[in-house]
Amino acid sequence: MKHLRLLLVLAAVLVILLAPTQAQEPVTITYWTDPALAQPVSLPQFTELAAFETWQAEQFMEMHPHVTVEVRGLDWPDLSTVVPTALAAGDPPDILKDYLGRTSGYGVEGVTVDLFGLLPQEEIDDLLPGLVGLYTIDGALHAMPTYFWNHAMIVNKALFDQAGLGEMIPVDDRDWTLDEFYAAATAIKEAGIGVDFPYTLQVASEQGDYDFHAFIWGAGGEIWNPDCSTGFDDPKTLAGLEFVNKLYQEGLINSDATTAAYADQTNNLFTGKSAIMGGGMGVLNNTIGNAITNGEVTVDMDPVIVTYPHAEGEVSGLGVGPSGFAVFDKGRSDYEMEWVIEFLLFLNSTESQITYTQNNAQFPARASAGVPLADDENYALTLSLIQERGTENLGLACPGFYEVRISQPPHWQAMFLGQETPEQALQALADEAAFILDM
Amino acid sequence: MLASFGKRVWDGRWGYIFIAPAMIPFVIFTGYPLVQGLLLSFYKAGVNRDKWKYIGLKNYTNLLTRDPVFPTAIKNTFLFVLGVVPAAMIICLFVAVLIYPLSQRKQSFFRAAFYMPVVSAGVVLAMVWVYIYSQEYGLLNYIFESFGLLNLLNEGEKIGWLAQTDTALLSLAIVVLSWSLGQPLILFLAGLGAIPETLYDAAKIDGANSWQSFWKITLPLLRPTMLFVLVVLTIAVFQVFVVVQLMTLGGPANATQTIVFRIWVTGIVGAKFGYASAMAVILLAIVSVLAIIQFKLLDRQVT
Repeated sequence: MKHLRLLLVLAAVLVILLAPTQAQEPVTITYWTDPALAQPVSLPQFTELAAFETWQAEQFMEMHPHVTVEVRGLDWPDLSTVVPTALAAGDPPDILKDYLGRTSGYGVEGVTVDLFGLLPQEEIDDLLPGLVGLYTIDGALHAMPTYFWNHAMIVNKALFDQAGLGEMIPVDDRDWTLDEFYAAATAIKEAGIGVDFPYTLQVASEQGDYDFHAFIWGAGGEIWNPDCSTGFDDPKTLAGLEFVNKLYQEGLINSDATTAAYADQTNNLFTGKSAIMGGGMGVLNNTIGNAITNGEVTVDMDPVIVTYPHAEGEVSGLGVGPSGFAVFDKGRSDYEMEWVIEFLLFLNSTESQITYTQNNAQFPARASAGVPLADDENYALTLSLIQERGTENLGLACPGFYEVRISQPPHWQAMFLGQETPEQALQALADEAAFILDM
Repeated sequence: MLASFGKRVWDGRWGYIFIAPAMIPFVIFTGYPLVQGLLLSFYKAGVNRDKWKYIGLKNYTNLLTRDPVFPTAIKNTFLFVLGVVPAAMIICLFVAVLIYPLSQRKQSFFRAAFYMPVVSAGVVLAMVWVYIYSQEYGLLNYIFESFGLLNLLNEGEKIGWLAQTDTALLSLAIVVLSWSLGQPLILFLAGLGAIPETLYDAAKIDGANSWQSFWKITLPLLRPTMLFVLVVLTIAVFQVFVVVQLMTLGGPANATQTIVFRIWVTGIVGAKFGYASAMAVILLAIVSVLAIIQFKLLDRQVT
């Protein structure tokens, strides 16, 4: 009898202990990701789109067997088409990892949840305050930042050395004026070592626009003002545009820039047709690094990072573009949302951010992630340049950002082809932006 | 009234049953979206369905009075149609008449050769053409260079076929033309096969030469086929999209923007579904009007 009572008590204790686990309802979470980690450098076993993220999801499901995570990888072009369509159809993912330039549009439209009310305060406090500010739209944290890329200029110094022009590259302070840049570009073209177009650029689509905008910023102009009005009427914007146009008309930019794609741009650099292109740590470590490994680079390559040139009296900051995890409002119950957030925190933990940034050569959004590539001198250099020169305003969180962005290339093309003057291009863009923002 | 309607339906029940397999998918996948698209064109509709707002005709007035790109897209689309459709009809008719007298075996070869692009993936063809047109490494510039044509046309400089506003649209039109020939050719050959040989024999006896036979017999009797090809081809070319999306993205400087490409950019990329729907309705109206005109003009002579 005593044994029976003991057994009953033990059984009751077991039931109580196990009850919460058994009570956990199954939850299915959908997670869509960009291809930023399609081929992580230090994790060569993951070669397919979303393979790494699927592995991450499996780790999470192992810890929480009642949770099913469905992962879908999207290529860059799909991110701007598949996600809006899914939203309109009422079937977005729970979590989307994407660039702020796109997720901000969803925040403005009010289809994301406010993470301020859902994330523990210590998690928010660990994020870089500047990024939290960028991700806050109408007082709501529309997504959780995870890392950010930087944009500067990559110069293949080996070609300048080969032509005896190495001293024209500002390797000491990484800083040069528009005139110094122009002199270096002209000199390397005239050196007769096969550099046909010193600066390689693409304006066929919006994809290469920061390589273009950086000259405008260097001249002190803006595409977006801090108050989210456009800067197309700024005389300094015009000055920057005239400078880019001069480069093109004098053959210092690849003549096929109006139709070139990213692959054409990098091909120009790898084959020595060009010696300079826009980029940051990602281009330096991953794009060029992989190309050297794959034998695609056919000239001597000594890539160095410098900031974009600037007009006298102006400072060239670096372009900085964060990516983050947006959580869409799908009318989830509190219980389901609790698990969505749990998975979000798993995806964006300090450890995860370190893994991401080590593999895509970007910079973590969490203070606790420290400096993941501290041994990489270019990584440290980039960080010091950001601290020293600041960052440029890309307008990523401005309403209408993406539409204004994609309206620009036709006018840059028209200017290059001599169909619009820089003034006309800016006037047309100002009108177009006004129309877009008014709709 | 209702009873007579019900009786008519009942009497024709087998007809309705037989057309149901075609009608049901049509209603679901074409009719319903068509009506929805029309309704949506009166709304300001973005990714957040809760914020969709009825705005009457504002999308249409914006499109026709303020949009800086849409008029260019309409103009380019018309240029496409005016260039590709007559060219495709003339080439196909010419080739069909040339190969019709050949043996079945030889005819099959030509049919297959012209039809190949139709069954090939548009994406693959577009990519091949991108390489053909490439300024630096393209086959076309290589051929032009080999024959000294670059000196004649462009002072020896390689031509950026897709990079120049004056050549981009024409270059795309040639691509569209290349894969528009297969179907009309097959139809024209079938049409030629339906013309009784006795008519040609009678014409010969009357002393008609080949040219007269072509004008007086072949062409008039091919008119139903020509009408069909004209309407179908016009509608197809009005919807030109893949080549633009894959080869130029509407550039350079909007020189290859077309209506369907604008619909894609506005609706799918820009997530302005109401505005894009208004564009689609305008396209529908243009194509419908043109189709009616074509029917009126040719139908009269067909019957």
